[in-house]
Amino acid sequence: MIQELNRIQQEVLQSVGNKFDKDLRHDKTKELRIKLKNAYIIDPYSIDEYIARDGYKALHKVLFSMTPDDVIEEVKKSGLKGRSGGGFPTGMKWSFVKKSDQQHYIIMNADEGESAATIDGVLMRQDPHCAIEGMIIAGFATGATIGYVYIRYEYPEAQRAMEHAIQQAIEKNLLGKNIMGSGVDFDIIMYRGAGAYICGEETSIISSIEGLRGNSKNKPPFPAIEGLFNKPTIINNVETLGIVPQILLNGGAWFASMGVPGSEGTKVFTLTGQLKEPKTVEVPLGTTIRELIELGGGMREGRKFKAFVTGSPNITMLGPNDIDMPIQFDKFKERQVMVGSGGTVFLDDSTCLMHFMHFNVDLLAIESCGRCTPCRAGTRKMTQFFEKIIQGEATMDDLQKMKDLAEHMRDASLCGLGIAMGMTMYSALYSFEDEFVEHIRDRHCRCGKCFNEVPA
Amino acid sequence: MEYTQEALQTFKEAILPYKERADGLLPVVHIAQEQFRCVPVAAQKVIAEVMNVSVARVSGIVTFYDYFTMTPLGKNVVEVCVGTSCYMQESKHLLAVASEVLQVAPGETRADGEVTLRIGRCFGRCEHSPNVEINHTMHLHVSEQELRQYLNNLEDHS
Repeated sequence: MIQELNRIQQEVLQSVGNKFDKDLRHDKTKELRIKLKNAYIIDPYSIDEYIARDGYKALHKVLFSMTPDDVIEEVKKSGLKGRSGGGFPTGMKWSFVKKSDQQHYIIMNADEGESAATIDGVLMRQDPHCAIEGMIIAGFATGATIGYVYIRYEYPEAQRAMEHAIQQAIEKNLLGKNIMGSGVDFDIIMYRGAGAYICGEETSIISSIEGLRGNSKNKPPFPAIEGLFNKPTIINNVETLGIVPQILLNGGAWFASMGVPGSEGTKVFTLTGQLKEPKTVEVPLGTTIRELIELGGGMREGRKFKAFVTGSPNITMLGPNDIDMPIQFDKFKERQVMVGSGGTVFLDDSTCLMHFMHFNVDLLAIESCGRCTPCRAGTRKMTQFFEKIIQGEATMDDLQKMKDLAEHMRDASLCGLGIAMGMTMYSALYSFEDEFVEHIRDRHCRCGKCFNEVPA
Repeated sequence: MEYTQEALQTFKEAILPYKERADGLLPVVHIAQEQFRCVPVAAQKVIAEVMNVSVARVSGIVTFYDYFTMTPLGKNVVEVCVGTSCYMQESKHLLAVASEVLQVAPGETRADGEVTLRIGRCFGRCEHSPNVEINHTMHLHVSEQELRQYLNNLEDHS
């Protein structure tokens, strides 16, 4: 079978000309294209072109020369952490699954609900096979034979590309029964969501596939022990699974050599907001916020950098004093900021933080699944507090109540949607407490946007 | 709205292959939404019967997810994104413009059934904000002028 892969590779390389030589980096010193190595270069509808870029060689290596434990060890060695917000070490997550005779599942979280993140969509549209290959490897490592791709409703184009890629992989016996003659089976089921932000949360995805409302569930038991249909289930996002083949092919040490200790490898960021040139970039972790701003062409003309916001609507933020802070899991955690799913919003000094936060908290209130009271009522109450601030009716006492409420939501909510409110308020007050106080005590809005209208 | 026995029978046959699937409920509701442009109570009852679950459970799903509706979508569907990235590019103004031109409130279907204006929650093209989707065609970097033009074309053809 490896001969077959090599033959296809040679054939494509001979006929493709210089198509694969394109360098799409915007800035050669700052960017590193590992996950995006095929995106916008290969034809996503051609499995042969993916194979020509060393595709499915990692799968061959894994199936014929490694044990599941070897695979998990290699992923652990790479230091790869989940790229969808939580930042949990992927190898460790996989090792939680106990070998058993039960049916095991892999779920690929392709419900990129964070509104400002585009990476999973780009990968699925432009390089669908990398995620498929990663899924099969994850299945082999954890003993799963069925994989679900939970894709959001808003991504029909990505769904088409994925479905086509799955079909091609089956035709080449890279997916399905007895893959490459190794005796290993793996099937992938495409599963379409229907528009719910909460269905990017792992237990909500499980509820959704089980045919329930997309409510989140209590943890523990963690999905790795008792997940989909009460069977062991591993849930990883597209970006995480997409890099797995390259880690297995080049070794964990290769991946760990990029980035900084504790935050190994690269991360794809979508730079949006008030930048001159919003775009999607891939950089090694450890890159500073200032460098990201430079990659985005700088702030808009005549405007100063105000805040770097990750995630949305579950936002956390850093202020102007943090502009030289490197993006690292540990440094961010100290300040209760999420590295997040890669969606970032840059705010300049024309944006009123109260309006921006009101918008996001209101969105959370709409998208809360409603199962637990701290989140259902807390997000609504928090929205009302921001409304009061914007209308000039809040008191300093309200600010204290907001802090208390956020902490309560952090401690008592069922899932990340409510829990993150603690981080949202902490990080906002850390950098922008003066702006809160100005609004509340002095009835002063430095952007001139508050006190005259009800927020839309 | 009334649905003929024939239409419901066609629907029932379409969903029969999912009968035994433990993960079948959401796909089946998708099929209803596509066939009827909504998931009416009549269809919910068929789903409950075929999938052997209560109508309440089906109804719970239909009301939970944004893309399932209980009243039929308009012939044309316009979706203006007000996700964070688009919001930062003043897309709430675009939503207001669309509402004014189409004479329908955001999130609603016009009384004549010609058009539905949806509030979008991110199409994942954030670097090109603001974005508008009209009848499944994505428009990136949309200005107010362009939006007015798209919407007027829509009205002319309907």
